[in-house]
Amino acid sequence: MNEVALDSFDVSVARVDKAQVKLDVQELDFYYGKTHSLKGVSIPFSEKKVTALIGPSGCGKSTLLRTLNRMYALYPGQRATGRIMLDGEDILRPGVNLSMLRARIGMVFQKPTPFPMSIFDNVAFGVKLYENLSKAEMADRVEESLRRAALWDEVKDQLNSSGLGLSGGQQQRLCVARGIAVKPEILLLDEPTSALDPISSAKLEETVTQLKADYTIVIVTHNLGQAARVSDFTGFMYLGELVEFGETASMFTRPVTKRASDYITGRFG
Amino acid sequence: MEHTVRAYDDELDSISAELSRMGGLAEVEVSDAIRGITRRDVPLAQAVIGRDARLDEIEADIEKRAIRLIALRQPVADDLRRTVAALKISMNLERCGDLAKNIAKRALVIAESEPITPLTRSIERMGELVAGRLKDVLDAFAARDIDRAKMVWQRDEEIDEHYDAIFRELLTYMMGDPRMIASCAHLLFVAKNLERIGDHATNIAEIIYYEITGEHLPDSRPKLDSLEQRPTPAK
Repeated sequence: MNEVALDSFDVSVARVDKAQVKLDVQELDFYYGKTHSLKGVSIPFSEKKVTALIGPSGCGKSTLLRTLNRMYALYPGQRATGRIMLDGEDILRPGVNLSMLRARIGMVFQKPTPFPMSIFDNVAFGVKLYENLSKAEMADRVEESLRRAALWDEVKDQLNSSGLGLSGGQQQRLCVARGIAVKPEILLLDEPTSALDPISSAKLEETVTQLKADYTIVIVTHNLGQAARVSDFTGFMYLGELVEFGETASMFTRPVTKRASDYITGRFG
Repeated sequence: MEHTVRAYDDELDSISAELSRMGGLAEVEVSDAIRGITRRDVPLAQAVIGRDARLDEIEADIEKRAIRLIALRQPVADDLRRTVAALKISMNLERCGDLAKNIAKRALVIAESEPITPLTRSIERMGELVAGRLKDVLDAFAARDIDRAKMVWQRDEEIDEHYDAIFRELLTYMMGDPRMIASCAHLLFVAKNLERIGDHATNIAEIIYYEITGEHLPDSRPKLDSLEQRPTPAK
């Protein structure tokens, strides 16, 4: 009677209910010029859930995130093959309206990137590109977005001051507000708290948890504790491959691949 | 494979070392308590009572180390399971020590009354079985041997059967001769304590299984014919 030891799988991707999948990455390969940086990655992102992508530097998690709204298309020599199905439609196929795509899939970057304009205009700017709102409607939209990003109470009396005058944590939440003001369906967060202090990080994590009610969220993070705290699903990537994907609680109590286990327990390399 | 931060390994290892030491002590406490009863050995029973405090101290120490490790290292996966398992196993061993101490106290009382040889033999047989289970489960822990842990878990019923037999035997004696009621009542508690030590050994077997596999053993024990089946991790 041989017991199957844990860590015995080389690769393990848990199945999720297909009906709940908002964004389904299938057999995705990605190339920076000749560098093959994503290798046959298939990962489902469930609707109104938070999926965390973890892995050592250079494993491809940020690359994967950047393919999800075709951010890479801004750069020459970068290409992706495979399928990324958004509500059943492949967003990698030619002819997709990238501007409309990015309105549906918002992104927040590692470092806060407020525009050099007022707090109000930072949030309103994106909305003006897609919608024609009355002044009152716009004011409502800005307030709603700032509230959802858990920033409203801190900035409601200074909406006309510059966004650059806010603290790092506030700037990052302003970027979240700007991202959700255009009412995307999916929010991509690329190490959103790596430049923030613990309190600001906690506030942003709380914001993410609140936003989950309406958005599908993908977060890339180097902070394993953060992945454990905010996400429902976790994907561990290594050298351009998805090594393990499953429910976060399961990943952090009994990972089934040796590589994921070594990484999250701090035994890597 | 070692942790990148080596002090983390040292801390985990020191908890395991303490736990092994505690297991060894608990094992001696239980077997000496049984011998205290069967051989009417008063000094040995007194020694068992005196040594129990040591188990309490080690349990407190393991708890302190485990809490510190959880707070400072935030263990996950196998490290987390190992830490929580150490906490739980030490609690079970501490309880075994308490039960052994209780048996030793009764040995002191029983030593003052007339010996009841056939009953003492039954208790001795049950005691050997229980001490053997405790030893098996501690060996399984030391060797990280899930098969052996599972064996202990599957065989708890044998101990329960012994207990039921002794219970009936004691009733017969008590009905036959009321003067024996006092020592029989003590022996009944001794048997009950042994049965509970067996339960703790079973608990420890379950904890070891979870620690190593990350899976829980089913709530009910499988019947003998399905012993070969076991849950396998879903791919």
